[in-house]
Amino acid sequence: MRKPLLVIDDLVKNFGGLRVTDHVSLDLCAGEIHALIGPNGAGKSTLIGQIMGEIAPDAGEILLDAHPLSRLSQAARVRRGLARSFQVPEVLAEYSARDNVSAALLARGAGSWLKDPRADAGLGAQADTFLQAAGLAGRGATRVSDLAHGERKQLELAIALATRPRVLLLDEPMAGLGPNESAQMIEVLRKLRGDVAMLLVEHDMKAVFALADRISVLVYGRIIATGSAAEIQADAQVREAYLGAGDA
Amino acid sequence: MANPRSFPRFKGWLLPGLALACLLALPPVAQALGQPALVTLVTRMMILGLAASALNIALGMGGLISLGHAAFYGIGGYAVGILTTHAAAGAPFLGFIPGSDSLALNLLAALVASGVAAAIIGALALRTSGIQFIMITLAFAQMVFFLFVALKAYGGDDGMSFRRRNGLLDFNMRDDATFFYVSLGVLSLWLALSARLLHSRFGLLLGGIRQSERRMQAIGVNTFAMRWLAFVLSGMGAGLAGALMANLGRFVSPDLMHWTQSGEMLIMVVLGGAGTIFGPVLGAFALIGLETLLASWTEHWQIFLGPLLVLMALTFRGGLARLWRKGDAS
Amino acid sequence: MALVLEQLLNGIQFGVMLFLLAAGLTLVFGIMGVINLAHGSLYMVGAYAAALGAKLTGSFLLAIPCGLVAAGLAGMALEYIVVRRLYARDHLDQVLATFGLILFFNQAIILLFGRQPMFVQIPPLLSGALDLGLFAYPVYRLCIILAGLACAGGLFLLIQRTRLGMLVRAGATHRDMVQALGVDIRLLYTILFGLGAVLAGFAGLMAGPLLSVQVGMGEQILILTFVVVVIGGLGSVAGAFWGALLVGLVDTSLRAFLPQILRALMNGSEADALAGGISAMGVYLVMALVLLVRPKGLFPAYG
Repeated sequence: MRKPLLVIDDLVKNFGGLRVTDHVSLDLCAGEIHALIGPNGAGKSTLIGQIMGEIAPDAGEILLDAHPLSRLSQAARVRRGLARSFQVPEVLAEYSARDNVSAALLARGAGSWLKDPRADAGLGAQADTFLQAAGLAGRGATRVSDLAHGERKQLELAIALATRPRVLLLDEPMAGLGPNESAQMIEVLRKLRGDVAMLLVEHDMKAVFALADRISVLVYGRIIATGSAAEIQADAQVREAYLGAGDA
Repeated sequence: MANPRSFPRFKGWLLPGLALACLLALPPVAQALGQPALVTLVTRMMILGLAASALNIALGMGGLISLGHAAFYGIGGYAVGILTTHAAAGAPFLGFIPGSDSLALNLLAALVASGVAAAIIGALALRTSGIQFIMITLAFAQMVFFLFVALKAYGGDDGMSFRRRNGLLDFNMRDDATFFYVSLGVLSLWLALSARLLHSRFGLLLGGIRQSERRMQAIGVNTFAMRWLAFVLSGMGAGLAGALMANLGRFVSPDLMHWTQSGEMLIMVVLGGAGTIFGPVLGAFALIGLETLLASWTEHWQIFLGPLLVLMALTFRGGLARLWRKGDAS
Repeated sequence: MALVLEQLLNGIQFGVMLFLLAAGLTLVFGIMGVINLAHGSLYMVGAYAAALGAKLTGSFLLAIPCGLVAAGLAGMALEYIVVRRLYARDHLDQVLATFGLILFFNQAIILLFGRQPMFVQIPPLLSGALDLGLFAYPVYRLCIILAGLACAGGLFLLIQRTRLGMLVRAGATHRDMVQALGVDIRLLYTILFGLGAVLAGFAGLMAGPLLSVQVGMGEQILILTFVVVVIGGLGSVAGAFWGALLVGLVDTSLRAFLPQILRALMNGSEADALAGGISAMGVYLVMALVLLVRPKGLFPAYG
């Protein structure tokens, strides 16, 4: 067993009286794709928010390379190699796709300090490689408000990749995609496998089974099972959560 | 399509170039037409255009709706007023800062003073966002206003006047045309700087924060620091404008920082086009022009201006600058 | 001691007036998402209408409905003609439009009433002072305090206990849902805006006999009202109440006591100048302190 890269240790978060993260422990090894599934409202997005530092947990710790993150700002966590995508694309609508990626490159110090980043050919070329990796080759000059939903999801991925993450937190990358777009996204993620560890929050089981090395099931803020695809499919608790009360 | 930017950029600089030529020609033409007051009027427009352009860095580029920029404008004005009167009296300000009647030094002092004020107010106000930010900037500006009303040593309510404009090299600053050209020079310099800023990595990231703060945080940008920096730069520009305005009339009073002044700056930016380089200046010319026109017609001109502003807010999108720069977002 | 208590009452009296304004402002923001700079103009309209009513009828009692009705009608007209078009707009458009409204209102008042301030007599019935044991306190100011507290109580009941209040609370968070349930939200908004206007007008007409009724009176108090709303927490009526009392007390006591305290420490004219400056800035400093500790105000409405 490889040494885990990201460790979530006994994390707790309450919103008012509601416990949305209930002693969650989870780990992610280098290069691994660990899928996190569970019914709506199970606390998956909240968990990503806590790992990134958007939301402060009430108790527990998150470690990257055995370094605790809880005191670090979001910017510091990004510098240490965390990146995320958003379920509803959170992209810069007035900019071109290329400028969206350039922003992420600039944020980690790439590019010339003197040139206009929009006229900096080197930076643009660098941005284009990430657009290409996310399946958006040739769309760099398009204004984001003119991109289709599926393309925005791909752009989310390109931006996240441009920060050069070691750990990528993907919040439902398949949500809202058509069958062809899903297949394309699965292909894109598969190519990235091994280079970057991914925590994949996803409802699309086809994608999960196609990609995940391990799967954890989160229900009402608690992890009820972790294992391989076959183990999860056979797990009685999971069947109950999904077929009994859940809305999968 | 190969280089979509070259054409609009050329087009974007053509009209300002023409405008610059017209401005350069204005003082002699006004003299020839027997309208010397026009020179002072246009100087005022340029100075307020500088203030509006400064506000635009916070508002147009950073999306920060400050209703308190009159404070920085006024502080810049008072920096000039205080240093100039101390120079005339020969006594140092606060006991150790010597007075000065050099324009270059006093503009520098105005930049520093307004920058420090903007740094403090910005650090507090930026802890909030949205409507609270609007209210807080307004409230802090009001606090500064009352501070200067209470400063009886510097004229309190009535303000103070000084005898001569600050000197620059060997220019005859008494001459309104000379001061016109000096103001034009400062404005041009400022606009060149803000164009540089808009097309810099800072400008790109700041614009990103305006569109989605959450996105920018997720790629590791310290959004608070960037907004704060934009606010400080913006406040400094407003202070520079105030310093010129103090020189124009050789007079400063708390009226400079009256809250309606902040409102007018906002109007200029929006009227001309937020986020553009020349829009705010255009907006200043349009608003002051309109005010002067209405005022020559009736004493109660605000009864027309008010509804016009309402109509503008309800119907007018993008500002004057967009009229000939359709689709060129930045 | 008597002096301190008297100034405390003055502070509370100022506080409840601020509350009447802040409640409308914070409701309009909290429910409709609109920043209304012209809220102070409604205060001015109430004051002028009541002053005119008092002048024409000679009775302060008859002037009260004049002020309330005028402010309410002005508010509803404002909502119907302008503000309703601002709900979907960004804050910048709201600021510009309502700034334009201020210019219009101020100039309209100048055209109708001139630039000279109007003075309103305290009604004879309320003009005396009530002996409170330690000191005598003006009956009129006591009435303001009681009326303000009554309004606050009424507002709490309205929001907590009535169908309208339920819609208000629901409408703030689930605008679309309330609409989907068949409630005419436009009418609800007009009524609510009118209610805020009536409260502002009430504050204005009560202020009439204490201050001079003049153009610009609305903006002075509007900015203080902003301070109240920021301190209390945007959108929270309870926050507006406590914020208003805090601002009223701080402002009044600084103005009342600071000059004497400073005069003990330095010479007279310097002390007065310094005290004047500090007391004018006092409430803003309190606001800065609150912001440092709690950026969302003392009673944040959500989250």
